Amino acid sequence: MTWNFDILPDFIFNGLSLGAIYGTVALALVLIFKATTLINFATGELAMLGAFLVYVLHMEQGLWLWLSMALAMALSAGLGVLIERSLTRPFDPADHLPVVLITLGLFLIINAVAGDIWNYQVRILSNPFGKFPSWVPSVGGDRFVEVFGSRLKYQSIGIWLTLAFALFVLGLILNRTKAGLAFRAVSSNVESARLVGVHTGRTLGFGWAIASAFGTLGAVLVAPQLGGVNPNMMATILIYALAGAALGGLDSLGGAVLGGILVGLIQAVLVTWGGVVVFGQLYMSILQLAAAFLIILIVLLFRPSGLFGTRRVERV
Amino acid sequence: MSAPLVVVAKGSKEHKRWQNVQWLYLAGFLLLTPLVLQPFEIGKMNRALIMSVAILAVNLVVGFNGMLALGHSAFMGIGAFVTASMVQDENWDYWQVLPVVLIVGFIMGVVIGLPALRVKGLYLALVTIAQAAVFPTLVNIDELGIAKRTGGPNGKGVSEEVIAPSYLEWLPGVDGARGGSAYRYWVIVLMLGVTLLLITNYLRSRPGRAVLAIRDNEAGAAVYGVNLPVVKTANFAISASLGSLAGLMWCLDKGFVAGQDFTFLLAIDLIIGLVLGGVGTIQGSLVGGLFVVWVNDLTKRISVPLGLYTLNGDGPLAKAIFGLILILFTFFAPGGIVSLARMVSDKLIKVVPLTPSGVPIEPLDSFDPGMESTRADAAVKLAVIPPVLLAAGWLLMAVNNLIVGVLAFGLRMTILLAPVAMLVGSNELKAHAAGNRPDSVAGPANMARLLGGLGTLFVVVYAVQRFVLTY
Repeated sequence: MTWNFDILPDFIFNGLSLGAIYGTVALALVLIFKATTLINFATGELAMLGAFLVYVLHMEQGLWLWLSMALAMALSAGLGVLIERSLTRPFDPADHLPVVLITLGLFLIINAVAGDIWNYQVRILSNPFGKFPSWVPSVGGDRFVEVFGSRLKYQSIGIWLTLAFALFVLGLILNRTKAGLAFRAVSSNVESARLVGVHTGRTLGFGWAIASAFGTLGAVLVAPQLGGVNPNMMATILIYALAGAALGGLDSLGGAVLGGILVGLIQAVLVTWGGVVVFGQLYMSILQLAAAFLIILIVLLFRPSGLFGTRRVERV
Repeated sequence: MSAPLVVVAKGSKEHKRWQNVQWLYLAGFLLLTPLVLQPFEIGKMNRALIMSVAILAVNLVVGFNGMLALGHSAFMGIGAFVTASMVQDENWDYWQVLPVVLIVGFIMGVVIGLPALRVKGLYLALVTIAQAAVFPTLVNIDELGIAKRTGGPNGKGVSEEVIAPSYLEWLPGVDGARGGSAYRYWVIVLMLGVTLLLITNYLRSRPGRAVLAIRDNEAGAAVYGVNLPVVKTANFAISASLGSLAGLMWCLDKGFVAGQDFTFLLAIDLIIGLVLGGVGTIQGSLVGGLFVVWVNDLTKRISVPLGLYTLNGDGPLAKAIFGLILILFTFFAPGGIVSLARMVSDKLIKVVPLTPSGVPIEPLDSFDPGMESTRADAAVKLAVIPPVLLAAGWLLMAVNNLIVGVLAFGLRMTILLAPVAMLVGSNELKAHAAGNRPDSVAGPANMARLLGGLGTLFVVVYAVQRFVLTY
C-alpha cells in the first residue's frame, strides 16, 4: 500500500468539478422537492433534452454556444412550466404515488423520443471552455493551471465560475424578486401562502422552470466529461445528484450544492484515489455508484434530514 | 343506466354457477395455454407469470402499504444470481435453493428497508431507485470472487435443466421435444398459485391488516399500537423475499442470468405492470405481468415495420408506449385494468348480499328495468354476436388470409360470452316460470339459452379436439 499523495490534488480537482455538476442537478431536484415534497425522477431526462437542444442549436444550427445555452435553458424552463401545469397540477400533492408515476412516465417518454431522434449514439458537443487565453499552458489539448504541482484544468475553473454565477443569479431571483418571495412562501407553508394570496400553482410552475433551467446547465457542463451528449447520459448522474441532495438535506438549496460537491469528492478521493492506494489499480471506480448508494443509506441511518435540512415535525 | 344482465343473491345456486363459470375460465386458460401455444410462446407466458410474481412483490409495498419501492429488479437479480451460483457451482437442486433465496431476499430487504422506513416520506423511493441503478454494476466486481460467481459481464449459464420426471409426463403439453417449456410452465404455475394463496392469507392476517392500516392512515395505525418501522420493514422484507423468488423462477425458466437483465428498466417494467393491472389488487398483479410482456413483445415486432430506431430488435418504442400508458392510466384509470374489468362485469352480473337471516338485502325484482324485461333480449344479442363474427370471419378468410384475426376474435368472443348468455337465459326462464316475468320473456330467454348452450358446446368440442390432437 503506497500513499501516493502526489496525485491526490488531481483527484480532488476532478472531484470538485464533478461535484459542482452533481450539485447543479441536485439543486434542480431540491427546487422541486422544496415546493412540492416530490422527487422529480424526470429531472435527468429533462436536463438531457436541454443538452440536446444545445446540440441542435449550436452544432447543427451554428449559433454561438453561450447563446444557444441561454436559449436551451429558456426553452426547457418553458417545458418545465408546461409539464407542471398540464401533468402534475391536477393531482393532490399530498398523495405521492400519482405524481411519481407521472414523472417516471415522462422519464420513459423523453428518453424514448430522444433515442428515436438521436439514436443512443454519443454526439460530440463543444466544450463551453474550449477557447483559452494564450498564457494557459497546455499538454495534449488539455489546458491547465499548475497548482500544488498538479494540473488544475481550465475547464474545472470554468465550471466553478459558471456555477457560482448561476447560484448568484438564483440568490438574486429568490431574495430580490416578488416571484422569489412567493416561492419561498410556498415552500415554507403552502396553506398559509395560499391564504395570504400567493398564486401557488403559478409559483410551483416558476419552481419547475428554474429547476429545468438548472438541470440543462448541469447537463451541458457534464457533456464534455462524458465525451458528448447521448440519451442515457444522465442516468448515473441523477443517482449521484440524488445522493448529493440526500446528503445536503432534501429541503436545503445550499445543502444540495454542498452535498453534490461532497459526493463528487467522496467519489474521486475515497473511492478512486483510495482504490489506487489500496489495490494499486484504477478498476475500483466500478464502486463509484455503490458509494452513492451507501451515502444515501448512511445519511438515512444517522441523519435522515441531511446535513443542512430541517427536521420535519408532523402534527396530526 | 341499464340494469345488470344477471342479478343473483349471494350464495344462491345461480351465484355458485357464475363462480363455477369463472373457475372454468381460469382452468381452461391454464390448461389450454401449454396445449395451444407454440413452445416459444409458452416461454413468453412463463416470463409473464414470473413478472406477475415480481409485480405482486412490488404491489405488497406500493399497493398495500403505500410506500414507494422502485428497485425490485435488484431483488430479482439477487435471487437469480444466488440460484445460478448454487445450482451451477455447488450442484444444488432448485428446490434446495428455494429457502436460501427466500432468506437472502428477506435479509436484503431488512438491510435496505430499515434505514429508509424509519422516517416518513419519499425516502424509500430514493434508496430503492439508487439500489436498482447500482445492482448491475455490483455484479461485475472482481474482488471477493463475486465476478466468478456471477459470471461478470458475460452472465452465467446454468447447464442443469428442469425436465419432467417420468411420473409427471401426463401433464398437458409435457411430451417429446416441446415438453421442456411446458413442464417449466406447470412448475411456475404451481409456485405462482402457492404464492397467491400465501399472500392473500398474509393480507388477511393480523400483520397484514396492520400493513393495510398503515396505508390508509399512518397516524391512526400508530395510535392503535402498530409499530410502524417494524411492520413496514417486515412487509418490505417479505416483498423483497418474494422478489428474489421471482429471480429464482427467472433462472429456472431461462437457464441464464446476466447483470444487464436486472437494470432500472426492469424495475420500471414492474411499476408499469403494477399500474396497468391495478394498484392494490392481487388480480392486478397477474394481469399486469401478462400485459407488460405482451406490449414488450408487440413493440419488438412492430418497431422495424414502423421504421423506428432499433438495436438488436429492441428499440425505444416500448419505452414510449409504457411512458404514455403510465401517464394516461394515472389520469384516466387510476384503478388499472382490474377496475375497467370490474366496470364491465358490473354491467353483466350483480351479486346482492344477504341479510343474516338469509334473505337478499334488496329484493332481486327491484333491479328489473320494468315489466318488459330487456335482459333476455340482451342475452340473445350476446349469444348471436360471436357466431355471426365467426361466420363472417370464415367467409372473409376464404377471400383473404389476413382476416384470420377476425376468426380468432370471434372464437374468443364465443368463449367469453356463450356461458354468460346461457346463464342469463335460464335465469330469465326460471323467473318466468315463477310468475315474475311476462310471457314475452320466454321466447328470447329460450333462444338465448339455446344459442349460449350451442356456443359453449362448440367451445368444449374445440377444446377436446385440440386436446386429442396434441396427444
